Formats: sequence, C-alpha cells, structure tokens
Amino acid sequence: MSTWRLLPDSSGDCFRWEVAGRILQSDSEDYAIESTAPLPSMNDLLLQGWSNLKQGDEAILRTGLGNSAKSTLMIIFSLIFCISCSFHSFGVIYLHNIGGSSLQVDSAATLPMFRTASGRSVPLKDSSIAKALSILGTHSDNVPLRESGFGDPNSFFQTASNKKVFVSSAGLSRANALLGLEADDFNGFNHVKRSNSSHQKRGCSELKTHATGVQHHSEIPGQYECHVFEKIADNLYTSAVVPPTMFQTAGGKTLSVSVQALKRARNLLGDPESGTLFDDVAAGDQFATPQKVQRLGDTAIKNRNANTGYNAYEGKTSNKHTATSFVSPLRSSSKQFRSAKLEDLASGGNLIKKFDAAVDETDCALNTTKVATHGVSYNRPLASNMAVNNAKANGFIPIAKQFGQPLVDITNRSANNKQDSTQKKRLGKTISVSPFKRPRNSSFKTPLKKNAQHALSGLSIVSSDTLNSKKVLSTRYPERSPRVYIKDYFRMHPTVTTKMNYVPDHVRRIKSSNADKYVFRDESSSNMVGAETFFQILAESGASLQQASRKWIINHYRWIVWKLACYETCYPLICRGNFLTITNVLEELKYRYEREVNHGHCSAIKKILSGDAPASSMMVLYISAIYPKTDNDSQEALGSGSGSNVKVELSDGWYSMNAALDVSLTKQLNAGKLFVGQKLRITDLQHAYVLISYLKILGAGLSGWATPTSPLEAVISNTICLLLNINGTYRAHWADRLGFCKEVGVPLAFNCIKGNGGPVPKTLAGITRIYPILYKERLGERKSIIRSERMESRMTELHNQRQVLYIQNFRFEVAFFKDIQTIFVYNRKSSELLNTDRLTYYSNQLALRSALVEGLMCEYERGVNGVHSQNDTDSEEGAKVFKLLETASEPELLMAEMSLEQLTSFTTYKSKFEAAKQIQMEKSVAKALEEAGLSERDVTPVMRIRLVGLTSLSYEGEHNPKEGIVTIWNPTERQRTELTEGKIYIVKGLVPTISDSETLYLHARGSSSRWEPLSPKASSSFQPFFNPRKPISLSNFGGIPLSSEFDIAAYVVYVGNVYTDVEQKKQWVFVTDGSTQRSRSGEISNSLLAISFSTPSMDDLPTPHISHSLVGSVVGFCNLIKRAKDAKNDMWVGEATENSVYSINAEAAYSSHLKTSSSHIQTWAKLSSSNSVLVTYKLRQRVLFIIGASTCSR
Amino acid sequence: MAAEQKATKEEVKMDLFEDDDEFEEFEINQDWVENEEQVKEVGLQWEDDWDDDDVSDDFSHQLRKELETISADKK
Repeated sequence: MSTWRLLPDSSGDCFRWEVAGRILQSDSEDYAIESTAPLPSMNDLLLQGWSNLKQGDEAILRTGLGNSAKSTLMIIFSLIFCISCSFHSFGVIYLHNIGGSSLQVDSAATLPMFRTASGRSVPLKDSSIAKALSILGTHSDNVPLRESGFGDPNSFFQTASNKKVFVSSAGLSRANALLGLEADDFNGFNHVKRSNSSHQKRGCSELKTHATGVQHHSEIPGQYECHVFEKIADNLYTSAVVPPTMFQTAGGKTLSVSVQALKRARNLLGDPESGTLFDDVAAGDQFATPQKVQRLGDTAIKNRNANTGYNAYEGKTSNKHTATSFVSPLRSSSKQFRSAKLEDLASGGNLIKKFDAAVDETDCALNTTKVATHGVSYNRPLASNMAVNNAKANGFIPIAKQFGQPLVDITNRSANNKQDSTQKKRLGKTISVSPFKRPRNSSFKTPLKKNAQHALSGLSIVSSDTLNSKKVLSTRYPERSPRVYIKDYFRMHPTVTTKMNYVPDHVRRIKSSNADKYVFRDESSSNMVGAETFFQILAESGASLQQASRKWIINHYRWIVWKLACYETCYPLICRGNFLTITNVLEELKYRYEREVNHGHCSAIKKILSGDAPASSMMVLYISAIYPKTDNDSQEALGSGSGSNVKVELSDGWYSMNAALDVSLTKQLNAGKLFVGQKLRITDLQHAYVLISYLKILGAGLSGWATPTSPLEAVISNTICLLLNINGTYRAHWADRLGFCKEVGVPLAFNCIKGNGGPVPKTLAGITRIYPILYKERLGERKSIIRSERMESRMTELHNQRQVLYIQNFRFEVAFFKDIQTIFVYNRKSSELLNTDRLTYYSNQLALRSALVEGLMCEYERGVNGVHSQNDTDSEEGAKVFKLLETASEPELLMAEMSLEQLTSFTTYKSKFEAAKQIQMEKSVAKALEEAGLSERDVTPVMRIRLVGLTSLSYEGEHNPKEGIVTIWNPTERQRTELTEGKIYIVKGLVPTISDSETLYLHARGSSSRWEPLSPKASSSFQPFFNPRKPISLSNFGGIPLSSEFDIAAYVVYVGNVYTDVEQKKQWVFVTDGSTQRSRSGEISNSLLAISFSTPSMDDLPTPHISHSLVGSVVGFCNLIKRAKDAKNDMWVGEATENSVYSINAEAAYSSHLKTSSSHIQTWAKLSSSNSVLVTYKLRQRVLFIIGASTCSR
Repeated sequence: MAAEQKATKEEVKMDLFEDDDEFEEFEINQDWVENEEQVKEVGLQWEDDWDDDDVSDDFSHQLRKELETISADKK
C-alpha cells in the first residue's frame, strides 16, 4: 500500500498530496515511486472522492502512482476528516491509500489507517466508520457497518497520539456542502450511478491533476485520473435545484457557484441534459487542474510527452460548437492570454493595457472565451507565445505571482494535441490563473468584450486597437545625446540682425496669427503641404487621432512654424532656410506628440488650464499677439478696471491664452515696452524684425476659470484669462526657458515695487524699525480707533468693568421685574385687599422698567419654556415630576415615594432645564450687552514694520533706497517675536496701497505673509541700510532732521493736563536730559524738550496718557518724531505718535538701548535735586511760565 | 559645397540645439520656504524696473553685452 502525505504547499495556503515514500501496505500492484511530483490537490481529491461516491463500487480511483483503489469510503472519510479538521491547522497527514483491492472494512486487519508524519499508524475504528456512515446517511451494502464503538458522536478519528479528533458539525457541513451532499441528498449515490453510465459512454473527460497528469498521462499506467468532469457538470445542474454548488479552492476556501454562472457554463459547454455536452469532444480530452503551472510547464518539457496536451492555449479543435480547448469560464488567465494572443496577432499592437483590463473580469470570461472561440481562428500556435512574451516584455505580472499562491483550475485539454514540444515549452511558461484568486473589487472590461462586436461581426479590431496604443512617433525624447541650448547655439540676441535680405518674403510675412495657415511647397510633388497634410502624416504614422486631433495639429503647427520662421528671420545667416522645412515641422510635431500623448507631459499653460498648477507659479511666457479688445471680450476677464483697450495673447510655445494687463503694464504696453513683432530701436540698428517679448511672471491670477479646460478651447474662449500685474511681471532674458521655472523665483527689489502694481509675490528688504504692537478697534462702520498696548489694556479693563456692572444691573432688573410681576399678579388676585393707589403704583413701576428688560425677559422665558416642549418621553415624564415637585408643599416626602425611574427622569429633566436656563440667561445677557453697546469689542492687533530697499554692493549708481511701512494685521506669534531690526528678509504676501507718498505703504496678513531672514553671508552682499537705535542727547538734537524718529531717555520735569484740541485729546510732557544750551541772550540753561501726546477725542478713556506721577522720573521714549523747535521759548519739540512708546523701566526690551543714558540722567537728577540751585525746580518754573504764556497768548 | 549644403539640409533642427520651448517636467513645489534656501544664500533680487529707462537693469545689461559682443565680432 502506498502512502500519501498531505503537505502544505509552498504558498502555505494550499495543500497537495505527495507520496510519503514509505510503503506500509501493498495489496495490489504497486508501481515504483519514480517521482515526487505533487499529487492531486485537495480540490482534486474531493472531486475524485465525489466522483467515486457517485460511481459506487465501480469507481476507480487511480492514484498518481497508478494505484487504483476502490476506496470510496476511505476517501470520504479522508475528505471529511481533512475538511473538518481545517486544512490550515494540520501540518502533515498521512493517508494510507488502500490499493486496488476492495476495501474490507469489516476486517480489523484491513481497516484503513491514517499515518502521521512520524509514521505512526492511526487505526480507523469501526465506530468511526459507523459514525461516518451514519452522518452520510447511507448504509451502502458495499460498506458493512460496525455498529459498536460509537463513543463520541463526532469523533471519527484518532491522532497519532491516540487523541480523538472531534469533527465539528461545521466541518461536516462544509464537507457536505463541498460534496454537494446536503442532508437530504446524502443518498445521492443513486444519482451518481445514474450518471455513471453516461459517463462511461463518453469516457472522454477526465479530471486530471495537472502535474501528474502531464507527467504520466499516457506513458505511465494507472495515472491518477478521475472521470469526474461530467459529474461536475452534472452537479452544477443539480445545484440549480439544490443549494448552491460549492467548490473548494486549493487554499481551502469554499466557493459557491451561482446559478447565473452555471447558466453561463451551460451556455458555454452545451447542455449536458440534452446530451450535447462534449458529444463532439474527441476521446481523450482532458480537464486539467494545474496546481502550479510553472511546474507543470517544466514537467511537460522534461517529459516531452506529446500527448500530455496541456494545450489550453492552443485550442485546436474540430468541434463546431464548443471549444475542445476549453477554458474554464471562471478562469481568467487563460482567457487573458487567449485574448491577448488573438488581439496581438490581429493588431500587432501593444496589448498590455488590455491585459491589465482583462485580469479581473470574471463575468466577462465566458463571453470572452466564447468570442475568442467563435470569433477568431485558433490555428495560431505561436499566438500565445507572442502574447506571453509580449506580456513579459511589457512587465505584465502574472496574477499567479501577484497573489503569491498556486492556483487551481479546471482546464479543458485536447487529446488532439498535435503541437510540438517546442510549443509546449512556451506554453509551459504560461501562467494559469484561477479566477477565484482575482481581486474582487476591481472592475474593468476585457478587451475582447470591448471588441466583441468587432470580433463577432468579423471586423478587424486593428483600427480600434491602433487608436488606443501608445505608438512611439519620435525617438527624440528622452533625448539620447546632449545638445547645446539655444542660447549657446545662436550666441546672440535674436533682435540683432543685419541680413534681412536673406529671408524670403513669405517667411518674413509669417506671424503668430497666420502661421497656422502657412503651407510648404513640396518640391518632389509640387504639392502644398500645410497643417492638414501633417495631420494626415501623423495619423498614418500611428498617432492617435483622438489625441492628435486636427485642432491639436493646427495649434502646434502654428507655434512650430512661427518659431522656425522667427529663427529664419532673426538668424538668417545661420539658418539659411534650413529650419523652416517640412522635416523639421514633422519632427517637432512628433516630438510634441511623444511628450504630450505618450509621456503625458503638459506645458505650463495646459497645466494651468487643467487645474494641475496654480497660475501664480513662476513661469516664462511670451507675448504672441496683441489684439484690440472686442465687444465679445469679457470685461471682467480682461481687466475692465485697467482701462486697457487691448488684449494680449501669451504663449508657452505649445499653447496660448489671453491675458489681462493692469494699469501699469498697460502703460508699459502703450510705451512700447511690451510688444510683439514690432520694431525696436537698439543703438544704431533700425531693422524690422520679429522680437518676442518674454515675460517672467510670478503670482499671476486666473480669471474666468472654473473647471479644467483644454487650452485649445480656452484660447477661443473670451472668459478665461491670466491676470498680470506689474509687481509680478518682469522682463525675461530672450533665451530663458519657457514654461514653469524650476529655479526659485527671485524676489523683486523693494525699490521696484509699484504702489498700484498689485500684490508683490516676493520682495527683499531690510527691517529698519519694528514698532510696538497696536490695537485697532472698530467702532462701527468706517469708524475705528488705534490704541497702544498700554491704552488697549486699560480699555479692556474698563470694558470688562462696564460689562460686569451692566450684567449686575441687568440681573437686578430682571429679578426686580419678576418681583414686581409676582406682586402685581398677587395683588390683582387680592385686589379687594389693596387700595387703588397701591395697584397703580405697581403698574407704574412695571411700566417704568425698560422695554429692553421686558423684551429680554420674554425671550428668556420663551427659551426656558422651550425645554418643556421637548418631545421625548423621558422629558415628558421628567417635566411632570418637575412640575409636581415644584408645586408640592412637601417635595421631599413626594420624592421619597417616587420610583427610581421617576427620580431619574426628574434628575435628567432638571439638569436639562438648568442648562437651558443658563444658556438662555447668557444669551439674554449677551443681547442686553450688545444693545447697551457693551458687546465684545472688535479689536485687531496690528504690527508695523519699517522696511527699506537694498542696494547691491556692486551697484555703482546712486544709493537711493526706497522706504516703506508694512502693516501686518493679526501678526503671528513668530512674527511678533522673531522679526529683528537690522536684518534682511525675503517677504512674501505684501500688497501695496496706492499712495502719492514717497514712502511705500504695504499691508499684509500675519497668516498669509511670510518673512524669511536672508543668510548673513548673503546679507553682506548689500550695502548697509540700518541705523541702530541710539539715545539722542538734547545737546545734539539740532542735528536730527525734522520729522525723523528719535529715541531719548529724559527726566520728566512736568506733565501737563489733558485738553481737547480739534477732536483730539492732547497732553504735553516736558523733559530734560540734563544737557545745557546757551540761549540767545547768552544765558546757559538746561535744554528742554516738550513732547506732545495726542489721541482721538472719540476715545472715552478717562485716564490721562501720561500720569502726573511720572514727574521726577527718568523715562525712556522711543519712536518720537522731531518737530520744529519752539524758538520763542528756546525749547525743542517732539511728538509722540501711535508708534511711540515710553517706559520708566530702562531694562525693558524695547528701551534697552536707553539703559546707559537713563542711568546717567538718574545721577544728574539726584545731583540737581540736592543742589542748592535746585535745577529741577527752576526748570519746572520755566515750564510753568511757558505754559502760562502760551495760555495767555491764546 | 553642394553636397555639404545638402547634408546641412538633411540635418534635423531638433538635433542641433535645444529649444526654449522644450520645457522640463518637474514637480512644482509651492512651498517656497523650502526652496528659498538657495535664494537665502545668494541674496539676488530682481531689479528690472519698468520705469527705469537709464538702462541700468539686468535686461538692459544683457542687451548691452550682446551688442558689445556683436560690435566686437564686426571688428
């Protein structure tokens, strides 16, 4: 008796049978074990088992070694055992294959045995057999049962260690389902017998384990063959009646076959019931279940068995109705290759896409196969090879490899295989894929299905195939050898030319607007070759007409011809008419097709219009045309605000689009600095030539674009256009590469920013001053006030106080209102107890309450009552309890009697009610505050920064940097803390405001602007721009220009009172730093500085700017503005602005530079105070005199 | 000479030099800060002022250089 061993497959998901190599018992003719080739898979065995069941005693199970065994029961047991014990949990199971002799199950000596991996026999008890038979529900006469020994009803087997193996009911169910033996159908042996006769008649179909089948089919007798296919088909039909037919994959997965699939199978295979199934199939046709196709192929090659006939791909047949070379309808790979083969042969094109598309379409497999079967001849043995090779060459990954597991399938094979071994070798390399292994979530069309109509109708599928293929038209991309760039080739600016007479007139007349209509004269045929001809040439070359449409050709023809004409015109001595040729145009067209269609590359304009790139990206375009604006042009799109009466067409050399210019660019256009094909005067040369104005554009906007648009359509459209502003548009070098710039956009010099030039994408500037954070409060429409941080904190404090006070009053009024209401109601009820006067008093009191409070109260009540109206049952219950308790005289007692549910409902409702009350009260308070003008303030922090333009060290001209002040709204924390005076920054996101001032004013939002410091090394390449803050001494005060800023540390002599002057509150502060001056009269006195502080009078802050308590202190003032000197009083004058800040703390960060100066003045002040002369006293008197004089003078 | 001209004629322009419209395909990185590193190190700025007619900008410099080259070639 030979021994079988069930081994896990290499993939780990499947199992296969192998000869254990140890013969334990040999009751029949044994054949030497010659091979260790894999034996039938479990799937196969199941089918065999089932087949044998059907055949009863007559079924012959032939092992791969040639052992035939009437081991029906054994097989069933094995199957049940294996299935129920889960394939994956078992390592090795030895199964004794009872040889060809009849199985005497009633004899203990001949009991079938299992053997473990360690070689131990596992006796199969009578009880197990009986149990199995009991479960199977059959008491075959051929299988006498042993009635005894039924221990555990589900314990059929014992393991090597004599442990019982419990077979779960689920396992049994699976086995049943697998075998198609449902509870009511276990006695289906009759059915088997019935079909057996027909099977024997036909005797043509074999289920064959692929490896052994291939290896030993004809040469080795006693192959493991099982005439089962017909039974499968039979079962398929019965399954339409009984529960769905189940297959089990090599991986142990159970798969059901739908009725629909069966129908398709029926259609494909013919109707077995009507006897057409395989009627015409030649005897010897086989159905193989290739487990490992690669191995199969190898084996096939090794054995050179001409009859092996693993020719699923050959398909030679004489059958008119059904393909002998049957490909399982559920098998996609065979279908793939077949499909590929057919199409490949037909079209000669690349079918990889179709391969890909075909992988998953199981449902289409039938149709596909059918189409392939009927539509196209099979007699092309090399086709599959081509397909396979093609697939491999194109990186097609066989699905078997993709899923990393061997695949099992049923494949029809023809015994009429006449192909030679060479072909088989190739076929052997073909990977067969089980359809069950395909990804289930993918969906696609098989190529054959797509072309089904073509195939069925006998039409060639070449044309459609050609359309979809990637035909390589140009080998110039990717370029093979490095070429010089245009700049190095021509080595001169295109404007410079003196030899216009070399250029023929017809070339000179080519413009961008008429280049598409240019025609070549073909010298050989005297034909005119224009865009249409090139369209045809490309089509004949294999270009996709869908991609290289007529429009596409005309567009590119236009730009290519114009470019070549420009070369001819600008460089006549170099070009000599050799550039604008048919060959060059064709090559360029092919090149463009190659890049755009085959490589999917898009030029800048195409990317922008398709939405794949923002229009704000930096790019180089050229002006291809300037047209007068027409009535049809969208005013909005073309910048109606600019007053421009022209529209500009920009191109990247591949496509074009309209652009709108801002006012400044329009001026430049009018001034001739934006041009196309116009005369340009350079030094002494005055020649007509074509010059393309190249623009480097950064931060352009896109108008009228909503959805991805083809550039071929966009150029016709008047709605889509690029919005250019002068701050983002620069003139580019003539040889700059067109399209998007790979390099980083160079920032625009701060000096070049135009106030009306639109957003500045990027600039470079130095920070000279950073002013303290200010707070702008909106006080209504068009009203706002800016406060310093100090004032803002005061204002916040004041506002909070007001709010608290108001809320207190409000609550009080609400309470009072409720009291009055209660009293009023009460008194009305007992009006007989009241006199009329008192009632009237209450009524009047009620009326006196403000309408606001009344309204709010009503709203409040409504909100609170809203809680009661909630619909849910719990709330209703809770509300009832709540009301009951609210009105109860002794709620505690009532609560004590309540059920737990009632209490829970009450608690829930109460919490909801309280929450609603709270929310409603907050709303009411918020509304009351809003109506009282005490709602949340609308305050925005503002940071101001003074910037200056930079001049390169190498610049030889006059250094006249432009200054600007940037206002950053809502500055980020990083901007507040990291920006440093004296550093150079690359700034993005600034927007200038139109101003006549010399100083440029810009604004930005903290979140949208970016400030990146330039490296110190790079910063050193610019001229110094920064004057660090330093304390000013009053002795040198004269040297400061008027209106310039200064910082000073000074002793406060006197603080004036706040007064109102022309909608401003003003306050004068008089300070000195101890320095002396000589008056006109020659008297030496201490210098005085009067500083004016002012705020808009609308600010209702009652506190003064400068506290009088500061008198006698040394204070550091920053960012004061120098004003004209009070000559009469011989006193310097300064002004504090919004940006000014003062501090008595010399250690403060902002005034740290005043620290030394402050300490000196402190020393001076102490000396002066103790001085008998009382310097400070005298100074104060002087100030009072000045103030008095000025008051008198008013 | 004629043969030479013929040979020249047969030469495809695309093999001679690289056009400025042969754009490069690359990922457009919008995060300018990352790319800004090189600029931060170089410290270039675009000083082409449209209103600047004193030909002191880069564009004018380029043109001037070209003209000088041409003049030198003429001599």
